[in-house]
Amino acid sequence: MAIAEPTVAPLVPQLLEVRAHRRETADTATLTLAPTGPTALGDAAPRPGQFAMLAAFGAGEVPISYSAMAGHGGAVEHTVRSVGAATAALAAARPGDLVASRGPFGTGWDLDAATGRDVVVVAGGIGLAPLRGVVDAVLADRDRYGSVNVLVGARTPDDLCFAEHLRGWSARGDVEVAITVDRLGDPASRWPGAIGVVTGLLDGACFDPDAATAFVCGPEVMMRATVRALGVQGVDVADVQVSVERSMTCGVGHCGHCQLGPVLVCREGPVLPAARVLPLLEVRER
Amino acid sequence: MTEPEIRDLVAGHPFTSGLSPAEVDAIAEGARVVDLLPGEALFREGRPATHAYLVTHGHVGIEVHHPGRGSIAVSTVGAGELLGWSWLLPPHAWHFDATARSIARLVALDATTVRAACDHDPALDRRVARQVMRTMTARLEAARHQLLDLYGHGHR
Repeated sequence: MAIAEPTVAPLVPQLLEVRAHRRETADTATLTLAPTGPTALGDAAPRPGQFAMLAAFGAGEVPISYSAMAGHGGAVEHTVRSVGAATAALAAARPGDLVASRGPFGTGWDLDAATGRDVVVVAGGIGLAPLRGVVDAVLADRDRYGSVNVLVGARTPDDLCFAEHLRGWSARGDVEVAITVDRLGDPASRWPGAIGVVTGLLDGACFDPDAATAFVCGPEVMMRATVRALGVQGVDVADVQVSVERSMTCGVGHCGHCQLGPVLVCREGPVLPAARVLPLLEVRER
Repeated sequence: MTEPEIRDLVAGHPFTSGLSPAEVDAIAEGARVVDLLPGEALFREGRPATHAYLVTHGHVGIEVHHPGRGSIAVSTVGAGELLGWSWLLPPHAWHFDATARSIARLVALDATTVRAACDHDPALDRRVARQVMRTMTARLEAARHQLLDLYGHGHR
């Protein structure tokens, strides 16, 4: 994967207007954002897997993946989970509010690597957000790929993001969608599906391990376990891409906050070959 | 379903991968198919564990009954998996409840037959023990990850 070149004026935020707010879960929302004027993005329209530095005025700036690429009028979608001051302010933004955005930054998913091969998407929690663009792109060009499996793990049924999209993908018939939850949460839940970790879904997925490309995003422990489980299934680690979350700050490889060993995640990542990043993730950090 | 058909189900299940046809015959003797509807109980905590169940279709929930809260499903076992190992070790009694969460089909291996076949053939005994251990290892790792509540804190 090539190192991402900085976008035009990478440190200058662009004003975006919140056009829509969709509640995903109790603490997570998807914002549709559109430029308020002529965009300076040009050819730098985001690709699946890239991220932007989103700022809520007076609250702070945080790296957030694109969960849907440029649509009508350059509108993009970001899915934000409220875990701190800036993300809480962003998740609370409503149509008409303004936010600031820098980007797109980083590498995207290498979809070309999956051409003619089976596609296995494994998402944990909000890790589905940066992978949604992968699924959308694959399904928009469905004949280019073999079987498509989307395996999703969530904390509880109430914590499942993109429920409508998952239903839509599942209804197509040319993509296998499997969902599991770590726990029911509410014992009276009517959740009819699997309970357990997302790696358990790999046993029931139909793909050719010798000709499969896997895209994985979620908490690091989940990604390490998933790469191991894919290996048990026979998938070569060279055919696995992961998206790594680090404390991206400048977005252009200057500040070093996101450094992971020799890798500046904001430039070389966040999508990285599993073979390159896994040994780095196994280094114990303080 | 006829005996040969049930035998084929056992032979095609991942639990018996690596077993010879003769070994499959030995553990499949007396096996029967169990079909369950959603919500139908398969076994209950404390009851004798008389069968080893190979899930071939659907999902079965492993549940704990909690007074005042009812039955709480803590994990599910799906197609291609072994359901339960209490049949292998004394006192041969289930430690949890099992209830179908969807339409499910399982092959019930007679535990006495399987144990007797293993006692008679140390090589089969090792292979069966390894398969059970593989299942236990996967469930233990999964349980540890579930305990970590990976999706619960700070993940953006």
